Amino acid sequence: MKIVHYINQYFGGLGGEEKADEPLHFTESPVGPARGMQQLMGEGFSFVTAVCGDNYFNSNSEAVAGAVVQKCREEKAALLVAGPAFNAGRYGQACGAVCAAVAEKLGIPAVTGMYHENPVLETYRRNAYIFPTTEMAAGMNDALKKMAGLAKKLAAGEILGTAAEEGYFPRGIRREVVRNEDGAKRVVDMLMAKLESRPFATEIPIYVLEKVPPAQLKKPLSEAKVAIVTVGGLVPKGNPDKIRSFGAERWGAYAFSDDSPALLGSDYETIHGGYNPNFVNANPNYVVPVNILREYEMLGTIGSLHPVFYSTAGVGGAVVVCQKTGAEIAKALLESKVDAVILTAT
Amino acid sequence: MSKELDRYGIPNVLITAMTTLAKNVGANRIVAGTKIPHPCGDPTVSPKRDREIGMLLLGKSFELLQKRVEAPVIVQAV
Repeated sequence: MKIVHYINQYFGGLGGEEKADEPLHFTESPVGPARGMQQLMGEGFSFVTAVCGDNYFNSNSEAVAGAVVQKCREEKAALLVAGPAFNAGRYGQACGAVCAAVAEKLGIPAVTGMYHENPVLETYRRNAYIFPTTEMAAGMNDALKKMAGLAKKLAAGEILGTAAEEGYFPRGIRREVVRNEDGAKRVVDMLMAKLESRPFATEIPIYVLEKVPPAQLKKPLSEAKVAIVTVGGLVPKGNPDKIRSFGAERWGAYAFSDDSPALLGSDYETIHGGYNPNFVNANPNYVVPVNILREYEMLGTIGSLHPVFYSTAGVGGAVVVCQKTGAEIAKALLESKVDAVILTAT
Repeated sequence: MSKELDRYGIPNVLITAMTTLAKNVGANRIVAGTKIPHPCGDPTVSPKRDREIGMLLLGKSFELLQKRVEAPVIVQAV
């Protein structure tokens, strides 16, 4: 069986950063991790190694990914292996992208490895089988062993167990199985185990959220510029930025007049799919309280009301998406020298 | 979103009717909004009282903004 293995200029033995612009080339003699994989896979597998500079990939990603797909097609590859990329951002991006391209265009499995904090892990864990690795390449042998183990199973067409059983990062794929006992019994057994301090395994892991310390005002509130941010989905009528009603990934910044005492229902609407929109459509100030903040501005409680509000729809938002949106809005606020925020949610 | 704003050093108050959820998720400064579809006021009462409610909510929010909090705090304004 043929396997194509994608690696970068460093693991391909070409050099370090100074060789990061090396274009893609293919070789039949496995090099670096590809040689390690070949030894682990043993007889019955032959390798084509793709070597590409990380910067070259970054600037020519579609072309390079396309060429790797084409090579897999020509060679009738059984699967694609990439990296492992450990914690490298550019290399991780390259490995993830070629895996995703091959999996999507050819329907063959793709296997790679990344450190759990690799910034692109979240982007690609659904498209490839990504194994957890150490942060640095010292964990190469271990990573290759894990990757080869799964590659053999995939090549043999074996049915895989759960992500937890096989050891790769969960891909978000649900497979229906029939359990021996019904849910009521299983949950009571779990509860008994928990109460008696015996080990148990949850069927649905709950995402554990990190703690972030609260920021503090850096100047008196009477001198502060305050902005309104909302996840209630208020947008100018017509939703010009086409923000989605569920699982929104976009947000908008909407300016209003410095003179306006309040927002008008005729100018705005909410596109949030998760609550009764009638009140906010009639009176947008219920979710973007320009009217109230304007009064506090006149009273001198706050220095000024920033004449732009920032909006997205919060319902159905994955945590990582909300974090990304929050970070982008935060950067926009800092650029506008906003000192504090009133954030409303529905 | 609230935590991201905190992370970037922008103090913020979250006004929402879903205070338990907000606290569980780790938002730091929370003011209890009136109701889910209209957190900053009440359309079922007189306009005068509606405005009063809005002023109380935001007034408490501004108080909370100026407080040095160390852990999630939920405040009832009305």
